[in-house]
Amino acid sequence: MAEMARKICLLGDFAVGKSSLVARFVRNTFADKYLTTVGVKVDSKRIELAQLAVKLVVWDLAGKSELDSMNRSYIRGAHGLMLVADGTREASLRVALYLWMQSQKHLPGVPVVMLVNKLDLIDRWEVSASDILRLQQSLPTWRTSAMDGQGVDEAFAELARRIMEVSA
Amino acid sequence: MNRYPPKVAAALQRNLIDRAHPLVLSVDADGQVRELQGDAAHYGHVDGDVRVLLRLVDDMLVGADRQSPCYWPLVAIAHGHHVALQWIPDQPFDHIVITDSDVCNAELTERQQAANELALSSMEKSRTIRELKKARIELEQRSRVLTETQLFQRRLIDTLAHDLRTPLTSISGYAALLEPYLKDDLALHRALGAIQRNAVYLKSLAENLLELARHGHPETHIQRHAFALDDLARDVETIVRPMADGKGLALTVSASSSAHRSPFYDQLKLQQILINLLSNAVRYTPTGRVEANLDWDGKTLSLVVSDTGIGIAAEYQKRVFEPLNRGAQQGREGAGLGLSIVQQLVESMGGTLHLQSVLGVGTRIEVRLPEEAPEMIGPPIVRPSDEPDLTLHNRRVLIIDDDVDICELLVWSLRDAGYEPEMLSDPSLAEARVASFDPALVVIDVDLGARSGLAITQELRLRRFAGAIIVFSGASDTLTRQSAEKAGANAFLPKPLDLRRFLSWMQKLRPSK
Repeated sequence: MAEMARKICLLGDFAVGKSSLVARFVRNTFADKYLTTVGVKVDSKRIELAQLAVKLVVWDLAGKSELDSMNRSYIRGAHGLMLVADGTREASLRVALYLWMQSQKHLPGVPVVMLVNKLDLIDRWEVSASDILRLQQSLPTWRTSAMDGQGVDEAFAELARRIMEVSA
Repeated sequence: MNRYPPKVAAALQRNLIDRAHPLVLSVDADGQVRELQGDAAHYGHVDGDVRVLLRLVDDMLVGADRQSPCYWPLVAIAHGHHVALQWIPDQPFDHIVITDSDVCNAELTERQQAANELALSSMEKSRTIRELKKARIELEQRSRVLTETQLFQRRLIDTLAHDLRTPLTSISGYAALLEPYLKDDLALHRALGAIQRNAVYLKSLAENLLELARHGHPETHIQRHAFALDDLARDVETIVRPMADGKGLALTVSASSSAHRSPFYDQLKLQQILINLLSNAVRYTPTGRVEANLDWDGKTLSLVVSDTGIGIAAEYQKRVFEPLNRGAQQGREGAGLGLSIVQQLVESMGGTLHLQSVLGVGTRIEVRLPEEAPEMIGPPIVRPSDEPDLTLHNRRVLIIDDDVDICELLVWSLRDAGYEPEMLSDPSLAEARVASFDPALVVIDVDLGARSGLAITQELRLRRFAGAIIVFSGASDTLTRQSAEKAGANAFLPKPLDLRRFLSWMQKLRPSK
């Protein structure tokens, strides 16, 4: 079975749970303590998509509200983008969409998925159901919880599938 | 091109190399390390085994052009360290240059962590403030609804209690009038006794409901004035007597005083306390006696009510003072308001209440009320006296009330008392009838529907009516009393009218022909 490697980058405001999503996806772990990411952390995981083994190289970029020169250098060559927002902070959704808009100049046409994270804190969500419905009209949107794993594997698999469709 | 002096350049190079711990891996096209220069152990890779770093770089080159140099300045590796990675394509081997970023970035990392935590904490604070504001708005809305509901309930109770007072005047009054006509018919006496007892009960209930509605309301004032203790004892006994007689109980209400002056209290509230205590005692005493003693020592008024009734079990003794406590004592008579109202009144007058009870033997309740110095309770409330000294220049009395039953009752009673009464149920004719009839006394209800009795009183005074005016009303609050006086009334009588007392007073006033 042939294996392909694809680079995906996680973009989003700080503390939305990007590193936690990677930890859940790659190692199936979760840590309560918040540790800010400085620079970038690169992990990888092999998944299978319809008889095709894909190695996803996941770039977990430091959370920023805009795409600075360092993050621009990190996303170069990415095959897909994963935008991450925190459901309990409506503003983080706007940041994710802004980062998407900025990244499109550098990565035109790459597949993108949106993850609205912290589904386990749904009783504190500021992002409404109608916001999610609106998002789904323009982006594949997943509600996820890095804490309990809801939607995490599915969201990564969806991005991988879209990347492979573009590559085919 | 400027060059550093050789010694400086050498020093700089040493310093930078010492701080950066460079590690250079030269790899062939298959990714095998052909040359290694530098401190691999510094990055945790002992014995020159750098496979983990090679895999990382290999991963990072996914999507990159391997024929072009790449530079990633800040990459997290194992154990929380950060490195700068460089990919330098070359011949015959490509090079990977790894330098330590921790020295330069440790402070940055700490600052970033602190800044992010501060921002998160600030967001959490803002969220909490928003939630608190929202909670406050909700609380205020609920409080408004609750206040409106309480206001509505109070008005409802107030209205019901007032509406009960008017028919009670008729019931009590007509029952008193019938008494002399019963002769020796025991069955009729029993029937009349039942009517009087139930009227007393209803009156007490109406007063308790009003007290309940007023509880905690700023308009609830204690209206103190000097009064005769004997009169209070006599009034209370008169009211409770039919109930005690109906059960064959011996009732004694006595008053004693060791002081040289009259007590200064709210007489109506004292009466309410005593009626509630005595009614309760009679209700729960199947046989034997009920006694009340009022004692005034010049500083404290003591009211003691005792009975030979069923008593109250120790575990229920606190509950009897809770509202709607039916069942705290055996039997389910009464609304369960009396003792809670007593406690409420005693507390509002700054007094104490002490209960002693033995099951099957009886109950003793002692209320002690300190007299508040008149100067401590603000200016005295000026009000029309219940029994002012009036001089009537003839025996004509005009009764103005839209309740025909009350009118006829008063006409009947006053005629028996030697007066020449007339009734008027249409208040619009009041002034004209007063002018034509020229009464010595006008007895007028406040609530006359289309017109206020107070407005008529005022109009009569403005027309120089010199006779006496007695106003009676279901609303016995201070405001109504004061309004009655301001309008020109000589006396104010609360409903339900105590007909015996009213007639006894009228007998004293009756002018000779």
